[in-house]
Amino acid sequence: MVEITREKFERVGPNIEESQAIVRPSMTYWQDAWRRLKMNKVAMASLVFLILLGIMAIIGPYMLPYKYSDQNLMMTNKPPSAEHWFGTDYLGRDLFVRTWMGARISLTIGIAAALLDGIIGVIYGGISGYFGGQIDNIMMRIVDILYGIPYLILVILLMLVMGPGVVTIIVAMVITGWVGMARLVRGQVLQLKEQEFVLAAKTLGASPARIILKHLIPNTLGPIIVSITFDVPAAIFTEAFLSYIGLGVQPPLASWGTLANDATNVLLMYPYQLFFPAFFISMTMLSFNLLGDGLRDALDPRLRK
Amino acid sequence: MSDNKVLLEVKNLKKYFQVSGGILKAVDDVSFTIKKGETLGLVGESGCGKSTTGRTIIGLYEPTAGEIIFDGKKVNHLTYEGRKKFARRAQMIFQDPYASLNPRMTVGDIIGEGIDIHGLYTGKERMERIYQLLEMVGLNREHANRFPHEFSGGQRQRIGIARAMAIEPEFIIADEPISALDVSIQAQIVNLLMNLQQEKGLTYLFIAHDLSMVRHISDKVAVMYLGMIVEMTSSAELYSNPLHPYTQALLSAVPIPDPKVERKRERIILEGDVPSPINPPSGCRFRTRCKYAMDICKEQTPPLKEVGSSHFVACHLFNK
Repeated sequence: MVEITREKFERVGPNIEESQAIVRPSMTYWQDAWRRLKMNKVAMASLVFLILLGIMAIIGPYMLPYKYSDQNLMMTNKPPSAEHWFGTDYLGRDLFVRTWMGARISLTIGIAAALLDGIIGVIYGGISGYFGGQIDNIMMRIVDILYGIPYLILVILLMLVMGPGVVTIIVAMVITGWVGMARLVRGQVLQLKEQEFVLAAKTLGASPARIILKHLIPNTLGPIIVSITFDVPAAIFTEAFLSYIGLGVQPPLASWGTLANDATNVLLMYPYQLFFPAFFISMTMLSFNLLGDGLRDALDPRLRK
Repeated sequence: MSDNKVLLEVKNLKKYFQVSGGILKAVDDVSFTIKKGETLGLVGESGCGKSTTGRTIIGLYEPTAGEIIFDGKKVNHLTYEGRKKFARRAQMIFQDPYASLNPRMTVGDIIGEGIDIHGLYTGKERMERIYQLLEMVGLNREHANRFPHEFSGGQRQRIGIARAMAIEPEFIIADEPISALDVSIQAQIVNLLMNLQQEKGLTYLFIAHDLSMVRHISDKVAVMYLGMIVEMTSSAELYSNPLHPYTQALLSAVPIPDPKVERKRERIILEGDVPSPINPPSGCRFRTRCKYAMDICKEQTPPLKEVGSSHFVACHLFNK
């Protein structure tokens, strides 16, 4: 048996310096969220797809020697070939160029509408939630009223007043769309403003602007980003739907919705014409939704591992 | 320790909240004074209005009625500028170390917030001051770039203390600063607070529900029940000679670290629950649970009266 003697032991004692040290590497909230997002393969694949889509929307229309509005009546309704990668439509316009032009319009409308929704919603909801009481009451009743207006009627009215076009669609979607964001932000702010760190800032003498900008908004940024990511596909879909029923962008401009609309007219003879716009609409919506899901998981600190 | 100058005087403070179902009288006619350099312990069970009292004094709530006089000046109903000035002299330490630090800010920015708001230091001096504060509360300067979620509860509470100390206040309200911590950490934090008090000559309002801790840190103790102070005296007097039946019941619940005494210790068990502060009992609020309740208790609210040398009690038993 091994003899254990007192001499073999040495008293270490507590080391104050060491006991206060932190081993985990320092990470900001965003670094940590990015690390978690990277582990989510589906979300990363969606992100890659969306980045490629963005690049193609920029360079796609220049990859073939046609303009999106160039008609060639000798080459109508051609199937995909070496000259026309996605084929041509009933006026002989190149569908590859038109699809990426459509991507530009659809993505612009989607992102612009979602961002404007976000900005208006955050400001409105932030003010409503922070000040509370009567102000909150009045501001939220206005939201309720706006929420009750069917947006299709609003869109048709706006078309009459402003004329159809990209700007009209964005305006119509923002007018009805920001209320969801305003409610979300208000709810978050109501919850956060009673938190002790906000009270501590007040105790230190912080101004309302400082509290909203430094304490409340940064802490709601996660849900806001997630909500915007979900708003983009919704806006793209709305645009496609409006264009499909003829309320959207006007020819010769193309969006995915108008391309799909044109293709349905010749669906029985040339079914492949519907494939490309429909494929990109679905894939884009799917990608944004899956990315939104991934972001929600990554940005929620309660799910931190 | 005290030079007998009154720093904070609270006169007939009332704070009512409008809630569905009526008016919640969280604080109802509370008066006390704290002398410079002293610590007043405010104890009572949860929901009795201790925290509301603290938050009203610091200006987080507007009082419904009454006056708060700090160093001879009224500090309730201040303008924004007035609040900011008052904030430099009075600060607060919060209860929940997990909720009281903004998770998106570095510890350095959290501690530096007061410095920034009041424009005390900038640039290199500001960082030096933050390092100095971190070391003062027993943390390292490397911690300035870390985020709150990387710290333990005790460490976070130290950060909260450093934040309050950053603008060199004279008066600190500690709102249950230790009740969310492990017992082993509680002692560290209390000792830190007591050391800071000695070094900087601070005045504390120490809110807690742990009687033995309050005894350790306080010069004077006030016992609250349902929004009112029922007894107030020096901490030695309170523990050796509790007069109010509620105080007696509270003290009987404190365990004594001696098995022989503990075996013989008799607990006064209070019957029933705390009545709702929305609809408190008439007269003396404690009468529904008091074994000495008399007829007069139903009709009259007993005033807080001096019964011994600076021993105040609000009970008809001593109100002759």
